[in-house]
Amino acid sequence: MKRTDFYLKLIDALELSSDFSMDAVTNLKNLEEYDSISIMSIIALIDEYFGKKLNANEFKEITTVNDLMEKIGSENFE
Amino acid sequence: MEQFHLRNKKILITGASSGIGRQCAVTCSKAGADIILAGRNRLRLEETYDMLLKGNHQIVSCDLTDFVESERIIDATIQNSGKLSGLVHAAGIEITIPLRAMRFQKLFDLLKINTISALELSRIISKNIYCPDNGSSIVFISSIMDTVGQPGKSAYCASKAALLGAVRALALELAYKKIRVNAISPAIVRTPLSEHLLSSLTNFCCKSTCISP
Repeated sequence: MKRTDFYLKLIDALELSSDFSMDAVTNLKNLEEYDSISIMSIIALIDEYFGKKLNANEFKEITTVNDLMEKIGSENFE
Repeated sequence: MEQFHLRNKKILITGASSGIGRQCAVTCSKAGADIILAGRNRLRLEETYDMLLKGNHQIVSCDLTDFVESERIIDATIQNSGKLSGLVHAAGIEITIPLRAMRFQKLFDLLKINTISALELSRIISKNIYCPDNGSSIVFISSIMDTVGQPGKSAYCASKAALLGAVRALALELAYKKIRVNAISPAIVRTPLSEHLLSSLTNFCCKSTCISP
């Protein structure tokens, strides 16, 4: 998946405004919208597009978007 | 006073490859019933089979969401083995997906196994040719989620609440055939699946969020 497409899907999952500027260094934990419902939405997104099932525990060590992409597997992004 | 038993009863149990369905099969076999184990995973059904008290048990491996094929298989099984005294529908899946991330295909898949297959199986086993003269019993394994709600559970709650609605109508509709229809709505049940989930939950996802039968 293109990184830019992934950012758009994350913006959607987090219900951020469509003009939000997201990139690899965006700190998810600083976002007000990054709550338990958003994490469940991100888990569903990752399952849907990458067939990978993360659990809530694994989000403890995820701070930035890049951390999340590494958790999914950087080989999945272009 | 004679204790409760299920001798000379044949009971079809779906979702018998794990969790509540498996335990229902074991318990019913201990009460003397002959069990028809239904589920997708033959290997795990065989594991359940090995846990049963000896009896005239059978394994029916089928995808209950393939309604045409599963009816054909269940028809053939009952014709070979005799009338059914009961159905326990424990097959089902649980998903925790917030509405914003829901996709209609996931919703269809959930409703097919949790809700529609329950009605389809009820239709099949309530056929006159399969129903003993002294009646039978249908039990749906629902969930406390048929009554309460939790974030991320809208689809699951809907699928189980639909079972409750169906039970009330079916109980009235099938009473003349002496078929009782009930649902059980358990809260957290210790199964391998729930143990795994319980051990993985953190503050991000409060412990009550992901566990339900």
